[in-house]
Amino acid sequence: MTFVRRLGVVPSALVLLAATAAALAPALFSPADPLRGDLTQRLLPPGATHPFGTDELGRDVFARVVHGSAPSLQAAVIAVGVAVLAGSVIGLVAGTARGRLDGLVMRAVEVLLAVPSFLLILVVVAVLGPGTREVALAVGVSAAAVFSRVMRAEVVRVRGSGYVEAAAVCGTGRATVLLTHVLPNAAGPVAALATLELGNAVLTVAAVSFLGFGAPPPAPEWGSLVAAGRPFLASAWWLTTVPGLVIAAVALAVNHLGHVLRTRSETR
Amino acid sequence: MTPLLAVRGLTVRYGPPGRGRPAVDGADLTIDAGEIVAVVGESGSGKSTLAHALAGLLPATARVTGGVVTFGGERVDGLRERAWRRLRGRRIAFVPQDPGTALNPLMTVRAQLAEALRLTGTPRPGEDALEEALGRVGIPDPAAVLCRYPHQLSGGFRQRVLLGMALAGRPALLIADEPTSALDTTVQKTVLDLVQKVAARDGTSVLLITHDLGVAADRADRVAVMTEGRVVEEGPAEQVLGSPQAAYTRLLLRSAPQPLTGPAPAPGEPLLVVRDLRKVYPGGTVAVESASFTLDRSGTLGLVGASGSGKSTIARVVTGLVEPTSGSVLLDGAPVRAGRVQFVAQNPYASLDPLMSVGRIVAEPLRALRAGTRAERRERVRRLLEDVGLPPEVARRRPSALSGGQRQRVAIARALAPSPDVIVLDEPVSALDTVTQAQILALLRRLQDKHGMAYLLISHDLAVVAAAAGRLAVMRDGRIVESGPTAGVLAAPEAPFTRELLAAIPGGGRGG
Amino acid sequence: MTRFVARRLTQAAAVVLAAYTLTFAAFYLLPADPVRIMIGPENGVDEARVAALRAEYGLDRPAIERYLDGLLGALHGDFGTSFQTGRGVGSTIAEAAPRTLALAGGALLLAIPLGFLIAWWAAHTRRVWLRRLLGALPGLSLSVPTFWLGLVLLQTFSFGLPLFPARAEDGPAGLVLPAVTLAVPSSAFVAQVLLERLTVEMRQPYVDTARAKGASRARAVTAHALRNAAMPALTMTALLVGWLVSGSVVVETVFARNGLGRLVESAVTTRDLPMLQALVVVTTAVVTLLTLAVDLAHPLVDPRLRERAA
Repeated sequence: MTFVRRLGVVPSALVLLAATAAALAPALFSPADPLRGDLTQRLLPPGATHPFGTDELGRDVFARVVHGSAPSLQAAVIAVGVAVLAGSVIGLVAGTARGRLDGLVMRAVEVLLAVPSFLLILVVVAVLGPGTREVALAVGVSAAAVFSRVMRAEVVRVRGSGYVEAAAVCGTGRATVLLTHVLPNAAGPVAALATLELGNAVLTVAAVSFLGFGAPPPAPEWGSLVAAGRPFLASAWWLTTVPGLVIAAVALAVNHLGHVLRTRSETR
Repeated sequence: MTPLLAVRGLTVRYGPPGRGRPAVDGADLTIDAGEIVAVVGESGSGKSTLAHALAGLLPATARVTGGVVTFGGERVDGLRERAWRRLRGRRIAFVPQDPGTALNPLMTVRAQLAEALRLTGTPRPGEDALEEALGRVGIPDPAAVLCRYPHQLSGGFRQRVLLGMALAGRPALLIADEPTSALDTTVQKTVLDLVQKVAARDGTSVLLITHDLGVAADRADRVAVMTEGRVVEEGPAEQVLGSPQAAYTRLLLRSAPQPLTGPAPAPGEPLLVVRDLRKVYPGGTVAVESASFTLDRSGTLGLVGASGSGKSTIARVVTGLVEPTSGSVLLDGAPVRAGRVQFVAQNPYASLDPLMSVGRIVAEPLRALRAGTRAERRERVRRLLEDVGLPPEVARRRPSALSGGQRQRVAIARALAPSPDVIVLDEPVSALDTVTQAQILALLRRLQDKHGMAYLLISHDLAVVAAAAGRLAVMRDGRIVESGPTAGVLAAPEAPFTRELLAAIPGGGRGG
Repeated sequence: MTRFVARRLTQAAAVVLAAYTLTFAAFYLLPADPVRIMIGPENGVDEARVAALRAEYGLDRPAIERYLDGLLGALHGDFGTSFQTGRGVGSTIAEAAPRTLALAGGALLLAIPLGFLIAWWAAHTRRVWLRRLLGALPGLSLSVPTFWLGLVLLQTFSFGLPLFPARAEDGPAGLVLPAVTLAVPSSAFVAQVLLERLTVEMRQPYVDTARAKGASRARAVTAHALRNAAMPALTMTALLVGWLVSGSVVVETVFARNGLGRLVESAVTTRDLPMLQALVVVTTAVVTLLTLAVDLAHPLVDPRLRERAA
């Protein structure tokens, strides 16, 4: 098990590193302008000058993929951040308050979980309008319910644990117990879930962007890049295949690293 | 005569070869026809892996890497799965550890028993065959039990059903892996009586895996002692337990709890006085009813009872974790102040925060009471660790790096930190092996001599209480049914329940 | 038992009502004016036109009145009229539903046996490499973007090898590629949950007991472990149906099929709030009812729950 896992860790880390670097400093990877095309260089297949080929306006696909990584990854990271933050606060309040407030909050979470998450995302997008930030917020809101549920379960578990009981006998105050015992121990599973959710968020953000609810054209986003290549499915395969492969590679890398981290924290 | 089962140099490893110590390391064992052989060892000694290997039930991660096993004169090590299937059930039967999870919860006893009969050569078992199989293991009303689901049966009955299924194919060898360690002591006795009776009647050999020397002494013809994957001693029960040769066997025998000797302690100055304690939980469960007792200064009071008798509730009330419904708990005539009563809980794996260093854990009561500066606290932690026999560098480690016994020492150090008057010990050794248990009990005695605090010792194990407490109180159904000096109660128990508890302690002699 | 059913029914009704209330609040009570949401921020605001539209859709009436009217209508299957087409929302959904049901049904028919097969095989085999391979398969499939998978399938099997029509609206041949696209992540989902449960169940002592009786590994997995692992997998099937509706949004767009997913997509694009609200409420109701049905079926499988329910 361990050998195969370790075998996957290095390429996963490399993919993630490359994607992050492309998001932070796209010019480093591709000097070409992602928005300006050369009409004499239209629909060229991948080759030496254009490693990912060119699109119908003669724009370099590699440049567009590289410049698309910033909005695509940003949206996924913001989404997970929103989900972790909102979910943790809700779960923490519910788990510490117990009683009627807990019941009320958890009923509301149940309703959010009953609505299929992709529909919930689209509802939020319909209200807020399209755009990278709006999509990030929508994905975050729809994932928050799961986080609040996990956080609450963890808080309840830790509060019933032997060491919290021992702290109470020692005379440690409630606030100190919450800060020194409950929060750190509840944070582990929430963090593990966050890494898994990040891979999910990359895919969901791409799907919403594919449907056309992300940043408006001509801004390059991974999902919308794939969508833009659809009319040329039969003639220019690289327009859809290559950006899709990039999304799959990043999602796979994040999921794999998340899985390794989770098993490591579980066996520890 | 060829023995029924002969094991020579059996080695079983988990994971890749060459890494770490094998779980079973060159074990030798012989079982003759009709014999009961007990394998005694602590958790991690490899006894359970040995049992699974001999039944061909090793998990996929484990491999037999050496040795020869013959059963009925034929080699069975390295058999293929298909060949094992012809042996299992018909010639070799296996009873797993916990009867609570060893039956499929979704199937009736009838379906599971019928499966056992079908697999061992009765193609269409009729009602009488099923009822006979249950009757053989002493189930009085087989027709009714057949229709039940496992959760509708008590632990003792489930173990009988498992035994009935195991014996359905009239095997030559029955392997029982800790068959009674999940049961109450009184039920344990009846199940072991049954195993012995059936073995004698059918001439079945039994391989009994147990951690309990008393069980081995009572039931086995021959005893093998295992530690660290090796069989360190094997021989007739009287010889192994009466004049042990291996150092480990002697250590194990010495560690069995011995009742305190000497005169009963004179009644001292009362320190903790509990009067008419009553606790009703929301929902109406009465956990404790009019309980009164007194704990003397520097004395030890043992509180003994079965699970659900209310003894843990008393521990929680005395430590202030739970408010009593009525009654009073007074320390030196006044309500308990913070830090004066400390607590050591049963499970040393749960009572220490896994993310904190040992140093921070031990200093927690000091921080709560705002005692001393940071440097003073660090120095105090060092002395506390020394007191409980741990090296100072342990302070930087996390609990996960420690063994169960070491963790319990950390919990004791934490309880000692504010120099309390009373320490409540809730089953402090029940999660530990015999040898570690003896070490912790000795440590507790030494600390009491040095620091002079009083102990309220709570346990389900009469032997442990007798080994540590000068006075004892017996609880049943939330009430204290008997109390007095330990030696007196043990010599002349008055309550029928106390007599029952005493009779069920294994090691009293051969049952039958 | 009847009290248990009644209580669960009330809970389910409360969830659907809450979904209705939630969408109503999101669309009509938030500071954003529904008419402005509908027109979109990018278009210039013509105050007269806004007022006319408000009057046309009855948005000038008090919120509580609209809420109760809408609720009453929804109970009778009347979800109002579409902002976009002016047609009844209910009848539009009813027309689109069969095509999506065929797609989702086809996907489920593929996904459930495939997911079970993968999980069963991975739990049963003693070959370590095969177990790892099968165990890694679900995670791999779940990392592939569904829309991209659909496009790759189109490219390969419609344009590359012309086996299936690229734009067949109806007919079984046109259903194959979309159903396969939707089935890949669904089967991965089923396999993942089931394998996780099976791995836990295979370590339970009752599996040892069964094998000690002489049962083969295959029998121990199928007759004992799988039976115990199936219930969580069943619960998940209800969630899977909700997920299939979400997935159909993408898949129907990729394959240009008309259905509920396309309705969702166009309702979001054109900001057709009554349509979107109805789609959300109907989907939530279906998922909730399925979850309820599975919950009520649990005691039939598990005798321990039978007593608790009684």
